[in-house]
Amino acid sequence: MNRRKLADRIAARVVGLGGLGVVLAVFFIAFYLIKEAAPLMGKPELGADGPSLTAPPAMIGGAEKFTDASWRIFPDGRLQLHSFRDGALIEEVEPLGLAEGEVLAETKLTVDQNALIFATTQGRIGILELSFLTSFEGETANQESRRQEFGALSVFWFIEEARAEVPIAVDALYGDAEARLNAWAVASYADGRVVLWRGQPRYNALEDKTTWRMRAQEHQFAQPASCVVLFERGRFLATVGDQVHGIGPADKFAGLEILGSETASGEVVVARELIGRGSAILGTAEGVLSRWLFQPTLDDDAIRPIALQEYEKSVPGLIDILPSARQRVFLAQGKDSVLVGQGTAGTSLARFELGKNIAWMNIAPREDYLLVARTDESFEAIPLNLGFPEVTAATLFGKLTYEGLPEPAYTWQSTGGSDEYEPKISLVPLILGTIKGTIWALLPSIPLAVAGALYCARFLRGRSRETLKPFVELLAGIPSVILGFVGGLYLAPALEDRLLALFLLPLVLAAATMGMGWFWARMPLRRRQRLHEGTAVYALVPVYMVLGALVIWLAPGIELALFDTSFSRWSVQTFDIPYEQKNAVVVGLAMGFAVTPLIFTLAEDAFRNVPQTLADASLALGATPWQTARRVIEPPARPGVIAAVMLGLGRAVGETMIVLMATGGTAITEWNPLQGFRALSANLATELPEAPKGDSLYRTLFLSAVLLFALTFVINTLAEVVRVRGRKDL
Amino acid sequence: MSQSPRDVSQSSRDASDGSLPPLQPGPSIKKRKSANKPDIRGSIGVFISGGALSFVLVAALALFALLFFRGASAFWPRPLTEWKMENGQTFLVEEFETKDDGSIRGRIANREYQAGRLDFVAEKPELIASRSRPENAVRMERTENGPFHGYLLGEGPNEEGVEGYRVQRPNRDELFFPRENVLRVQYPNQLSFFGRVGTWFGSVGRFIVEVPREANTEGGVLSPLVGTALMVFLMTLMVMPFGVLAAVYLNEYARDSWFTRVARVAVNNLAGVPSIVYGVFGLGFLIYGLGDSIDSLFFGVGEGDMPIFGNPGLLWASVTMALLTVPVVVVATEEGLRAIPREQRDGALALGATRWEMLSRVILPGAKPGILTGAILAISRAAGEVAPLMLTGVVGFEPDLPISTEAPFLHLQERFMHLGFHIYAVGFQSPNVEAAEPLVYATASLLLVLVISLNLVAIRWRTKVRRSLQGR
Repeated sequence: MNRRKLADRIAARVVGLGGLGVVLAVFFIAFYLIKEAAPLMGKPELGADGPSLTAPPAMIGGAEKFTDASWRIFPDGRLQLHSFRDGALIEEVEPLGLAEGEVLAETKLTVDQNALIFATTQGRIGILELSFLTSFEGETANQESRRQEFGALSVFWFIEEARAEVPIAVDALYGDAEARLNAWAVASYADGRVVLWRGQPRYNALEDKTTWRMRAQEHQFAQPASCVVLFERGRFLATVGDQVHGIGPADKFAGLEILGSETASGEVVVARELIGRGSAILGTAEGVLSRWLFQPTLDDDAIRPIALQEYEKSVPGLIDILPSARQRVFLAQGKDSVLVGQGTAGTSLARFELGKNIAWMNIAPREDYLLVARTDESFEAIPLNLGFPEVTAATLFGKLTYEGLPEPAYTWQSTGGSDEYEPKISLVPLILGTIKGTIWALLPSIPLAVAGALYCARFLRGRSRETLKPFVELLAGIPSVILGFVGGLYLAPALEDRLLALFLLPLVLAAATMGMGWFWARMPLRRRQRLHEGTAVYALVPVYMVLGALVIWLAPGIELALFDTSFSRWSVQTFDIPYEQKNAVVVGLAMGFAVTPLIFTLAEDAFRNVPQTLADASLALGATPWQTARRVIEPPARPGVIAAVMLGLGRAVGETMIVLMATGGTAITEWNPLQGFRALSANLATELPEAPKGDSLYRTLFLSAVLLFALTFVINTLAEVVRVRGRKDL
Repeated sequence: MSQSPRDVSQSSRDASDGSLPPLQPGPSIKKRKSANKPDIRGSIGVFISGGALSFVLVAALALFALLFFRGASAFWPRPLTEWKMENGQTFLVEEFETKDDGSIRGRIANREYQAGRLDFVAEKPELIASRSRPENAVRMERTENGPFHGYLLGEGPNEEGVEGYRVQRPNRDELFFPRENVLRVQYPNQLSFFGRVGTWFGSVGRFIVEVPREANTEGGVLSPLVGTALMVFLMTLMVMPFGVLAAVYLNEYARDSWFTRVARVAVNNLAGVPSIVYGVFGLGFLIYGLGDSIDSLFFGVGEGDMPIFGNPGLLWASVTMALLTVPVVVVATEEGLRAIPREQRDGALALGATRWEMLSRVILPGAKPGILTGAILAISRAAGEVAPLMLTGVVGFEPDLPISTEAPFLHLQERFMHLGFHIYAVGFQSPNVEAAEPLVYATASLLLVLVISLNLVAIRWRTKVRRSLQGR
């Protein structure tokens, strides 16, 4: 007796736990997806208790990539390296070899922080390449045993001889001598001149030596240019007052020409380029920041500075703009606060108060620390968590002007070849793609499934119904990968040659059906009663087979006769609408195979559930079978049918393989059904395996999974509500 | 006319209130057709709705016909035709079809000797000077470079003593293939019809028992077949206990409360969640979460090492599929449970059985058809579903089976091939789509037959369950 009770109690426990577990698993899936996507919403944060040390602030400095040590450069050209571990001076060198009394006048760290551009009080201009050597003490290679020292510190001079004039702003780009790229430098002088130097390497194979040939071109402004920002191929931005000029070398380096000018909202005092090609952040004397593009790509005629977004928040007492070495994020350093801004959508993300007496600050190369040097010789590395600054509501859903694209667009192009690539993560084309695919899947499916279901439920009898309904149900089980394969490799090329069949086939079949219906009505009553309506479906099958095959077979010939070429090519030529072989219509046809059986099965149940007594009463009152079906059966079944359609919708929204295989997969925002698209689901299948765990693309993809989950959840719940309501009404 | 839908339900509801609506002739009665006049509109309506069903049937039949015909013809031994081209070249071509523009498409094989390794041609007939069918034309299946079309000169060892075949390409130099590189030698032009049929059956058999070769363009589908079977087997082991437990809990133990109602909605909704979302969950939680933890706890895999379970693999794919199929099992099992009449429960309890005894001896045996239906539907769903696998463990080409005679025999952490993904990989990512396409049709047919037969069994059992449900 006891054992039995024990068993009963254990069973109750196990069943309860197991059942609860499964139910909770559902919620856990949703919870987990949201949890993975949630960090995207986080704001940049500063931590506490970073390493610190005491050292004279010097002019500018930074850290090597592990943030084990910090370097700084003094006006007299001394370069120091301090360890964060014990604050000790590791090394002091003088790589520049400045003359007696010569000090640095201007310095600028490149975006990647691998080189320092400088100008001296003797007017000399050069680039100091910074490199660090990492070694390990003892046997084990870990963080504790890691030691840093300066590597080879080489200087490349644009102007090596001393001259009287001292630039007020410099910028330079140092090409790779091995790759025989040009080196460029630009400087602005107090008399209003801006000078562009171009250094061309000449490699002498015999001596294995590269010599550089320097040439200069200049342009005279009325007033001195406050900032210069150099981009590729010698094109640069120069700001004079509130004017922003885009300047480039003329053909064959014969002079400089102004490519375009634009007015900023105030006098520009700081200008910095961001990582990538052509993005710059400009700051005015009032501390207003704005995002600019100077595009040296695409259409060469249209290169000019383009003013894009202005940042919401301004930075009082703007001193400097510090770009990140890894992504389009920058810190705008003000008198006593720092603004974190984002460079793809022009969003200000956060503001930090850091107190007074700041000499300079910098972002560590790995973005894990904010380095702050103060005039009181204290220096600290404050832990920095930028979060996912490149993912904001604006970059996810906004229409943005990206680097290298001529006009604002909704674009998904998450990864490019290099770090410099600007991730384009607008979900808009993916959402539109999903909607487009769904529409084209439902367009043929709804009428076919609903009409077929009505017929099956109300006109088919006995064995016919018991055979045909399971048969259609069986179709719902066809793996979608097979449908996708047939769509992509068979339907797509076939449709290209006989697009006309798409219009002809419904017309021909509808005409034949109506003709047969008319013929049926004319038949004597006795014969109609013997055959009854349930046989229509069998009568039509051979007709459809013959007519369908005929239309499909003849369509290419008809197209040739009518248009002299295939209809698809003719419409491309005549109406200038692009045609892609793998397009939305192909997806719709292939997905129709998946969605139609689903809607059919559920709609058939809905029609079937209407009590027979209603139909009997209607028929007894003299209504024809069709009148009964349309006016007595259909209205109460309508909620069930709507629920069926919605479940079909849910299926189409989430369908992956068909969309993946039967479309080209380009993320476009065109509604043209003869072009492809990229849907949320297919995008997940292709991009998630490649996305590094935990990074912004990975989490953005999780966000799109949440979206998909939420979308189908809402659709399915609505369908359930509609269905339950309808059942109550009955 | 368009108002009529509401009228029906409205009037019936009014009538139930007891207050009868005023009598008036409804629009349908006024417009009723006389019985003598043919009801053309109604008849057309019936035919249009019937036509919708006919269209679905015809389209489905066309789809099956396409897949099965193309799949079957992939193995048909076609004769070899010698093309003497106008420009003096000679080919031995396995002709496939005449295209719309009149050109003949065929396979010239001998991939390693063709420019760009393309072994398919489509030539206009006017460029072909003559076509003939030499009796001694030979087709060899090889381990590398696809089939060989040519003439067999002799067998035996070469100068170095290696056993093999001396062969000749049409109008070219003599070649020597070592025996180990040649799988089969066939004279397709000497085959009778029955010979061809026999060869066809042989090829179909080999397709099923051979592993894929040459990046899936040759060979069979044993690896994907075994991979699918293993994944489905593991999935069934996981999903059945939990699915049945959940159904029993919802149907037998839980009282009808808001919680069970929410739970039912949740399970129903789970069935509608796109399969790729399960894949995302599997990759994020199972592989990067659980898998990484297992690696660091049990295998000491550190940062930067090659992960073992922190990688997509057979185990995680099965678990993901199990999650995906839980609602299928729950719904089917619940249906089975509901089909058992209340009297049986009451009877068992009245005879002094505990709840567990009632459940295990009366309810569960009675619900067996429902449970089995759930299992089969789950299996067929898992066998056909591809999207979540792309994230959790499937691979395009891995002829080695995830099951072996070496310990631990079943390699749960390894990536596996899957029939459905095989279709995608071969049809869309293959280096030589033309060579692989017939095999894709064959694979698709095989998968379709598998899934459809599973579904047929499930439907049969489900009808049984539903009959007993209605019968009570």
